[in-house]
Amino acid sequence: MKIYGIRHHGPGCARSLVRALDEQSPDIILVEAPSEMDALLADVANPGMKPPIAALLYQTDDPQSSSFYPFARFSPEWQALQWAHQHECKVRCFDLPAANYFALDAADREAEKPTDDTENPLEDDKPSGGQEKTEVPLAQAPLGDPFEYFARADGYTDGERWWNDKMEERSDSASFFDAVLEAVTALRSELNHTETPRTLQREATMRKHMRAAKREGFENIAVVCGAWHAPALATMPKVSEDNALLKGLPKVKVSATWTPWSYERLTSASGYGAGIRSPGWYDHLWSRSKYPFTTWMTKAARVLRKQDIEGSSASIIEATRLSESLAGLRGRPRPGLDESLEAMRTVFCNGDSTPLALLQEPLLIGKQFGEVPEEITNLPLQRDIEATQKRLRLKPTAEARELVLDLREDSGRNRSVFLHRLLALQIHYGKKRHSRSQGTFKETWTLLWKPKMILQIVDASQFGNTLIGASGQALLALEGETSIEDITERLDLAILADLSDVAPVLVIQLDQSAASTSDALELMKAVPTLVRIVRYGDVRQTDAGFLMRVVVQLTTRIAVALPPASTGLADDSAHQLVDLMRRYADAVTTLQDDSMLASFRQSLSIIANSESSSAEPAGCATRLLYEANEFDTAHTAKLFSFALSAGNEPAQAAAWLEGFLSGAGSVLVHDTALLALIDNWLKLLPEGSFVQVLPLLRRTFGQFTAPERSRIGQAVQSDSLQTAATKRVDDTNDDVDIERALPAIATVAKLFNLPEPG
Amino acid sequence: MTTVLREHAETLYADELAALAEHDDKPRPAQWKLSPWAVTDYLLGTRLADGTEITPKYIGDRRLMEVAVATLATDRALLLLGVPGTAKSWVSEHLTAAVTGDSTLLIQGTSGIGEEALRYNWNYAQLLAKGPSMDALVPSPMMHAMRDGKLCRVEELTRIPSDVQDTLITILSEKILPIPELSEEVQATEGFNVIASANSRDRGVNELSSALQRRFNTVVLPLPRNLDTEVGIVQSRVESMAKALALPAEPPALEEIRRVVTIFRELRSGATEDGQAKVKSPSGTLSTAEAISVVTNGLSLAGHFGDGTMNAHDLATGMVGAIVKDPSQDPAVFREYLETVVKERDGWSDLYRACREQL
Repeated sequence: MKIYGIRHHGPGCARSLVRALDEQSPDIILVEAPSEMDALLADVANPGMKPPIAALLYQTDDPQSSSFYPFARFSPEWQALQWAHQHECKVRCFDLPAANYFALDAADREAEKPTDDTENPLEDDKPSGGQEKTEVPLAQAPLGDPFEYFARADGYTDGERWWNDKMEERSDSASFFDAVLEAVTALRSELNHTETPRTLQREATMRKHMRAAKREGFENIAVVCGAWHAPALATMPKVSEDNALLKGLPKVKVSATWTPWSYERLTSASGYGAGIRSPGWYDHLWSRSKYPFTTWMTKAARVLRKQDIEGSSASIIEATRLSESLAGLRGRPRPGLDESLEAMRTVFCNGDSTPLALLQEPLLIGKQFGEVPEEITNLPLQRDIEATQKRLRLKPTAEARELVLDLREDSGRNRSVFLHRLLALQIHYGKKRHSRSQGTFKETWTLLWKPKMILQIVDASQFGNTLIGASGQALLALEGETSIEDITERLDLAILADLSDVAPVLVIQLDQSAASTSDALELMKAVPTLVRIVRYGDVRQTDAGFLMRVVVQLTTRIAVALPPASTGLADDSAHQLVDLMRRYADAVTTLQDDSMLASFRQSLSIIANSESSSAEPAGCATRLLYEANEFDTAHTAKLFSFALSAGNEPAQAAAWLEGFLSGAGSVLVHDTALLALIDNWLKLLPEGSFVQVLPLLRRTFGQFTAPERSRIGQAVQSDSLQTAATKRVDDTNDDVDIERALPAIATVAKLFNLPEPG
Repeated sequence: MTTVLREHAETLYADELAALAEHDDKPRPAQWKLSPWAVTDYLLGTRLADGTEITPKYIGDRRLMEVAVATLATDRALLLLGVPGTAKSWVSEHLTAAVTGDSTLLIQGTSGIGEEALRYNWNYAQLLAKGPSMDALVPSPMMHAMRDGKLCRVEELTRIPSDVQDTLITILSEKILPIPELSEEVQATEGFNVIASANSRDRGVNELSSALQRRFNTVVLPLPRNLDTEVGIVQSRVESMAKALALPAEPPALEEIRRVVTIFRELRSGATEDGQAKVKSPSGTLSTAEAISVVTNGLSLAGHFGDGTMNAHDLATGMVGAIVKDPSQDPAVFREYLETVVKERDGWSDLYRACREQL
């Protein structure tokens, strides 16, 4: 019997292991993995399986407790499985069954419950995971930590680097596993850590299987396990001791399946416990190119060249030489990942470490995605989605189909929630169409199920194994800097998808993001959606209050930041700002908060009156204030003729006019006062200026629809225009006949459940 | 007897260099006085087997220094880049002192420098009397370094006009310095290399041509990573400078230095050390070197005009001078910082009042 202590995902280990297996040619291989995985081993032979892939084990009745066991092509376990397949050797998984593991975990969680309130998502600061237990490093020995001792004794800063140097990047492998066994034996006896009960139970299980294999008559056994466990398997304690450890372990029912994986999720940065720093580097080491280091440098240079960073062949030569002399300086036989990165930074990036980030994804992590034949994958999330589809009678069809949902009915609401949850997972099964005519209680969707959506489900499985859990986590999983607009959209989606646990967390994120954003445009983009949520969204009372505070804070900051933000803009961004200003003005007006409106109007009036403002926003501000009765006709007329006067550049004047009149076609038809203002100005223009200004007017008015234009023409011809110009300010309130209006008001008050008007 | 104001590194640390050479059993590149290992140890400080203490010259990342030393062992030149006051010249002086034992081959880059400063000049009396000959040639430090296989330092490389910079290309790639007037050339001997330093704030002034850029390996010297490192740097430099300048005041308490460094770091990074408040940054660099000069300045004020112990007043003068560089904006920035941050801090009220008086 031979024991091979390996490191999960170590190419050096994998290479040494294959060589050692060739030498030993065992009749059975025991691999460290939960015994449920035995059922999956037949698939290893399937040529459609392309690593990186992962085995997923989950509790059948509660898919949220689950573990992934990833394999890359350079994982020693994967190589052992492949070797067994090629040499027709028996393989068995001999770790503690996940059935026990999940049950024990559940028991632990139960025990911890009073102190640890994981139910409250507000206190859960983990980026993903929640109560779900994906990627438990069940197959992971406590590698990182104990090896620090060797690393430090050897003058290294951390265990990973040391292991890399001494184990993974070496080429000769004679007595490799004996050395590992000896090293770990020394570590375990010297440190004398008390192992967790779980580790002891696992090791006892492994020994049990080893004994069983011997009893069955296997003589040449190969044991592949994490290096940390090797010593515990080398010396066999009494059978009774092991049995005592394993007596009466609780059990749950477990299902197993394969799923494609990616190198990105193999990195330790992804939260994977047995993760590695650079899968791309290991993959490269495994690929056995003839000149590994030169090839690596050349790959890096080619990646950088694509990003317009100089990386000539001469630089590759220099970088290779520098890393070799660095390795020499550090007493290493050949350069490793660190040397290569330092040399790249010095030679390719002129000492700047920022461009190295460009290498991260294409080179250091690697873009590889695994493949699993479709008939093999069977994910719990996928089944949850299919079950929900069946329950809601939304049969997936290959052709597009339209669906109108009435949100006042349960079935309509449930379907809408389901479709929104899929959207939260980036699965675009339903496409929502905005239709104004149907009121707020109706939604129109176009449904189309595409086969590749199965891949998106696989991808979404990282967030959880039930639809509700996964969609919530997906909304919370923020990558990098997120804009306030982005968070607002997530919040909107969370509320539409009825994820009430997630919404409060997003509100807090929103608050934080709002505090650190200073760009007025960014802030303004968020407000309309937020206002809609505050007014119509189904938010809990407390959250709504908090959300309102965020809105108040945002509007205050926008009022301060808006005037400076509207100066010196290029045409495109001015146009964008005007669009935003309109939407923002609508939103603020619906809230009917006086102080908020007042401060917004104040900043608008700064924009309208200041000469340094860009023309289009200034025009728009003038119009908004005119509509709000903030500017009277005389002042508006003054600003209007000032903006269009001959002293201004024609382009500037045109932009102002566009800001003032855009989208106003139908308004002009009805607001005779506004029309009269323009009409009067036009009549007073001297001929020269008229000719000059005509193209501008034509450009703006040309944007209105033909019927609008003809009705404006009719309105100009009618006589009432002249009187309207002077009447406008007066006719706001005085004409109302209270007596006649009273019954109508009473009915409206009843409808809205307001007190009867007195 | 007159003593020089500032000794060369190789003189000042002659004992350490000798001790390192004695214990150095690793292979040395041609012409190097020490092995690359020993050079790195000399820069970063260590304790030798016989107990000799090697003081650290550079406090910071070991890996950076290893890259610098490894570069000198290849035939690429080394470019040290960083904002002012990040010990670029200091590192290059000590590198040359450790590698060749001679840190005097120095070319100071200025905007008015000509090609002769990098190549050679003529002794015109000789030239007129005898015509062009090797005797009439006045070699530059670069030519000396090439002939003798030493390291030549070029300070402030990006201040040098581009056309003059490009003189370096032949020197660095072909390792020759042609003398067309005499149809001769000087060939570099083994051990020759160039250490240039450039200010990253000057980038874009005379940006290196990419042909020249390619001849350099660039090491960026960063600002000190955390408060303790920076306090350590200021403390050790102030102590050695106080010795050299014979300042009468007592060496300052670590606490005062910590306060100065904290203020500099906070203003530089735009946030308080605890990350809770945002702070506006003034226009100056506020490097560690400036923190050092604020403290030495305070020391000499205290020694000559005060009671011999450095207090907040002695510090405030230098500090305001270092922080307020642009009279139109910086006073407002500094005042806001004083009001919002310094005023609130326990035990800082003396410093707050002193600075307010100076503004």
